[in-house]
This record gives sequence, C-alpha cells and structure tokens, in this order.
Amino acid sequence: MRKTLEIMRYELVSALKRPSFLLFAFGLPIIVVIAFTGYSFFKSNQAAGGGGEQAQEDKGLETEGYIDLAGLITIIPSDLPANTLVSYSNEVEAQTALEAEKISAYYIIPEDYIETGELVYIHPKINPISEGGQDWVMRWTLYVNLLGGDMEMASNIWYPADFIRHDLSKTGGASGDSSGECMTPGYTCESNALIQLLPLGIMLIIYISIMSGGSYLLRLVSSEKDSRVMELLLLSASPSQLLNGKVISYCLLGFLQVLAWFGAVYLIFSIGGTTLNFPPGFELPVSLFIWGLVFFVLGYAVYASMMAGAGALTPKLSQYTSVYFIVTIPLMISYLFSIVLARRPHSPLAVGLSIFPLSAPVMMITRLTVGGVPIWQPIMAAGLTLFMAVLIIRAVARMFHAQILLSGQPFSITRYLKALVNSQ
Amino acid sequence: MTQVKVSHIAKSFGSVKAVRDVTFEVDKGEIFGLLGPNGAGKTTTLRVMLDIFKPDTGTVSVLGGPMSEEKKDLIGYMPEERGLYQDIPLERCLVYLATLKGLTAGEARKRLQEYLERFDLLPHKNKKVKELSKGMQQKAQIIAAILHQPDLIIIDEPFTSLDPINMQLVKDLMGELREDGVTILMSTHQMHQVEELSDRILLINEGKNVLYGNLDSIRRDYAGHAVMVQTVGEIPRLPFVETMVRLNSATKLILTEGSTPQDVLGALVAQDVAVEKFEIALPTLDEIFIKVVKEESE
Repeated sequence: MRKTLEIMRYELVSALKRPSFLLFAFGLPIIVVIAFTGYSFFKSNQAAGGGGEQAQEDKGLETEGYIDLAGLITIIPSDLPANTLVSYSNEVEAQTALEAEKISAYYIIPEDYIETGELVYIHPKINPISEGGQDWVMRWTLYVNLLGGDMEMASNIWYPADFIRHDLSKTGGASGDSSGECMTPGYTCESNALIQLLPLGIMLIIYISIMSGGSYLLRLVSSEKDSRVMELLLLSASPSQLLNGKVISYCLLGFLQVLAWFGAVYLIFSIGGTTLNFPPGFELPVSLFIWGLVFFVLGYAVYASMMAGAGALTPKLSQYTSVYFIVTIPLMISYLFSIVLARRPHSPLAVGLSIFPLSAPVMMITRLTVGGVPIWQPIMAAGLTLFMAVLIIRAVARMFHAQILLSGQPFSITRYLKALVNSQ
Repeated sequence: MTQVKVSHIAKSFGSVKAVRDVTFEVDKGEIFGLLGPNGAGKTTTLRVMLDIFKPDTGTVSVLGGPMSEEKKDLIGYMPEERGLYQDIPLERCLVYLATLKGLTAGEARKRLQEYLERFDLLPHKNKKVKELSKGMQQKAQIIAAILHQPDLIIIDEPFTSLDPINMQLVKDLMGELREDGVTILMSTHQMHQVEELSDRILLINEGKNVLYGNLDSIRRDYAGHAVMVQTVGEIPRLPFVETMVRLNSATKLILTEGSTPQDVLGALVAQDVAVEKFEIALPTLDEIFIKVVKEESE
C-alpha cells in the first residue's frame, strides 16, 4: 500500500508540474472563462449605455459628432458624459474634425430619417469585436429625443420587460418557464438550446476527460518502457502496485480536470446572466452528479487500464499515437452513437449501449441527463462496468510483467487481445 | 553462504537462444564478475536471475529462495543503460526510486546528499537528468542502485562512459561495499576492469559457461609455460628456455618442455645475473577468453 501511495504521489506531482496537463486541464477552462467574461463585460457596457445608469460611470466614451439634417436632436441625454456628442452643421465640418482627431466618428441623420429609419455612421476604425463601435450612444439619444426628452419612458422602451420570476416548481406548481418540455434536458426542449444540448455537453466533458487521462497514461507507460525506467520500477514494486498507483492518480487528475471544466461551465452560466442560463425552476438532479462521478471513475478505470496495457505492449514511444487510436475505438464509437441516439435516448439500441460496459460511461450519462431512466439500468450498467474494470485491471497488472514489457515486439490488436485474454 | 544460485538456465526469444546453459553461484560478501563479450547472454542471465524474465529451463535462487516482492527491497540493480526518468530533476528522480525501495523521502534525501557529494554531483542535483553528461548519468544510476543499502547489488556494465578518475571512484566504492558484507554481481564485457576487483568470475560465451571459478586459479590454469623476468642488463642465453620475447619492461621466457621456473631461476643465479623481477607469466582475462574461444571453435 505504501508503495502504491508513493507511486500515486509521484505521478500526481509530476502531472501537476507538466505544462501540457496544466494547460489542458486548467488553462483552457480559465482562458474560456476569461474570454467569455471579457465578451460579457463588453456587451453589458454596450447595453448599459442605453439604460443610462451605467453610462454615467463610463468615462471611456469617445467624442463623436453628428449632422442632424432631420432636426430631431434637441437634447443630449443627461446621463451621457459631456462632449460625448458634438453637433456639426454639415459633413465637411464633421470630416475636418474627424481628420483633426477631435472626434472619433460622426453620424449623418438624413432628412427622411423618420420615414426610412436609416442613418449613416462614419467610423474610421471599426472594432473587429464590435462593429457598431459606440453607436448605442446615438441610438439612446434618438430614443430620448423621439420621446420628447422623456428619459424614463425611453429607458422602459430600451428595457421593455423587467421580469420578476417566481419559482413555483418546488411547491409542485407550474414552472416559471413557459415551456414544460424544457424541464428535462435533451432534444425535446426546442426553445432553449442550452438545455437541448446539455446531455451532449456533459457527455463530451466526461468523454474528453477519459480520453485525455487514458492518453497520458499510455504515453507514460510507453515512455517508461522506452527509457528502461520500467525495469527498475518492476524491481521495486509489484505490477499491481505500479498499475494501481498510476491509474488512481490519473483518475484523480481526470476528476480534477472534470471539476475544472464543469466549474468553467458554471462560471460561464453565472456570468452569462439572462442570455446564457437555465430557465427558473430548472435544476439538474444531484443524483445525476453522483452517477456522473460513478461512471466517470468506472469508465476511467476501464479505459485507463486498457491504455496502460497497450502501453505495456508498445515497444516504442513513437508508436503511441496509432496504439492510442486503436484502444479508444470502442469509446469513440460510443461517443458517436451518443450523438445520434441523444434524440432517441430510450430506444433499445441506446439502452443496450448504455448497459454495455465499454460504452456505458458515455452513453448512460447521456441518458441520465435526459432523465426517465429506470434505476435498475444505471445500477446494472455500473455493476457490469465495475466487473469489467476489475477484470481488465487484473489482466493488465499481469501484462505488466517484464516478459511483455521488455519484449520489444511490435504492437498489434491481435497480440493485445491475446495478452488481455491470456492474462485472465 | 550462497546469495545467488543459478542452475542450468536457458532462455530463448523466438528462434534466438539468448542463454543456453548457464550455472553459477555467488557467495555472500564477494564481488562476482559475470563476464563475456557483447551478445554473450549476460544481461539476459541477470534478468532471468532477477525474475524479470522467466527461464525456459533451469532454476534460480536469490537470497535463499525464489524471487519475491519482499526481496526487491534488498536488491539494488543498475541496468545496462538509461533507467532514469529524463525529464525530472536528478534529486527528485533518485529520491523517488529510493522511496520505492522502502526508504522514507527524508532518509533518502539525507543519504543522497552524501553520495552526490562523493560523486561530485551535488551542484547538479536540481538539473534535469537529460541535461547531465553520460558519465554523470552513469554515476547517478550507480547511486540509485546502492542508495537503499541493499544486501545484493547487481550492476550491468558499471564502467560505461566513466573516465579513469570516476572509474576508480566506482571501484573504491565497490571495495568498501564488499568490506561491509554486501554481495556484488558485476556484469561487463570490459574484462580487464574486473580483474582487480572480482574474487570469482564466470565467463560466458554464446549463452554458455566457458570459465568459472576463482580468478587467480583460472589465470594459473591458463598460464602458459613461461616466466616474466626483469634483469639488470641483457639476459644471456639460458638452458631450459625455448624462446625469449622482449616486452616493454621485462622479458617473457617460454620454457622447454619438462623444465620448471625453478630451473630457469637457478640458471640465472648460476650465471650471476642480477634479477630485479621474476614471476610466473599469468595471462590476462582477455587472453584467456580468446584462447578458450579458439579452442572451442577448433
């Protein structure tokens, strides 16, 4: 046990010091969250300007000009900072001011603006993120002027609905959301893409985590063989200690990775506000997270052990990519099936695949996210997957004998399957 | 007391017979040399001995019985080449390997400091292993094999990549370990390196025992009918001598059949020659090996 812990500790520390792992497990979610936060901040600034309240706080607005040929603008909204909009009598003056960099852009409000609703916005430096620049300033100014200077009414039109939501679902009443079909994730929910794609999203995170963790393990074993470290390890610890230490540590790392990715998704939803959020009353059941954890761990044990076994048979680190592809074929197939069967999560094929151990970790999670799965099915699937995990770990532990590890024979799927079967 | 007993082992890989029939014993506290040219089957013999490979035939007993998990902590092994994690700092690598041999990380670190200092590796302990020279990596591998103070040390080609100074450092260390009662099995194709260290040797070729036993006895057995003589001035023509071969600092006298070294010494004294050195001409292990292999092929 002590040696297993030493191996686990070493592998955990090594992985957490590896830039590639840190980047994939934690760096990418952080980058996504930062990018989304920046985008949301930018968008909210744009929108808030129209609302008026935040505009007062915004000291970063550029000065822009306008030529009001329609004679509409009589007042500049009081919530805009002074000199945000400067009036010019003709375009030549505005152009001269633009060239002198006194203004950053200007608008031309044509005489027939009321009839056509069209105006011209001259902006020399279009921002690739927001092509509209700060055109909301003019939009807000027009709102206020068209409503005779009534800023409160303009604000109400800008934000026509300020919903006060009451969640009645907990008391058994109807959901605050209008569409009842969106109370369960999946394709039945057509009004909310987030809920519609949720099963695939959760399945994808688990799929990627199992694949990436298994890949690290395959690479690790392959490189230890290549560098002859394996010879020393085999003379220091038992094959099962080696395998358990590695599989458990990478399972923990995979779990950390899943947490990081789910955390990122949670943060994005939190930042997303009303544009990216579940409807009120919608809650994912706690049991889904428990089952998710169970199937992640079991799926990881099955595939990571298979990868370790493949690593044991891979004579050279350079063959790692092709071996990885071969071993993950069952998982990839079940991933593809999950995408197709997400529309029919309770079809016989979907049920069968969700119980079959090699596809259960991915397929059962997809079905459980949708809901309506009889309890015996995940229990049976978990039991079978656990049984298979034990068989594979035992077989691979026997494959970890140096006879195989140091043989130098090329990897082949036939040899791999024979080794798995003969090790039982 | 026998620490290792290898009895008629054979091991094949496909159609290649790496070891055909090897038998030897290693006693406690001795330095045993497993010698032979490249491809003779030395490394395979060691791996069979350590239960890394199962023998096709034959039996192995290590530290009083079959190899077991418990015995792993009592054995130090240095594979022929590499065997260290390349992408981590030297200290971390060696401490980790020592903890797998039963030491606590603290104890391993403490012992390691002494060895790193002795092998002049202390300034490099935070460097990644792959950044070290081959010689440094070789020394690090030797440390990895002895850090947990095993009862039995097995080292495969210990002198590879070492300069003469470090070679002597390793030889001195081996001598000290022997004095402490540690059993050392050293495998190499550099036979001359083992001559001054080993008590007994096994010379194998093409997977079979060629010579086995006490090193001095073997050399005496293969000593030609000759003596090495160094004198003041020229050596006169002597009875009992068939041929005289002048070497760098001495002359090798090949004796006639039926004569003895004592006859030659007597003749030298009788002719009033000032003798500075007189010894039985013992062959080197290289010379013995070449002779044996030639005899076998004939």
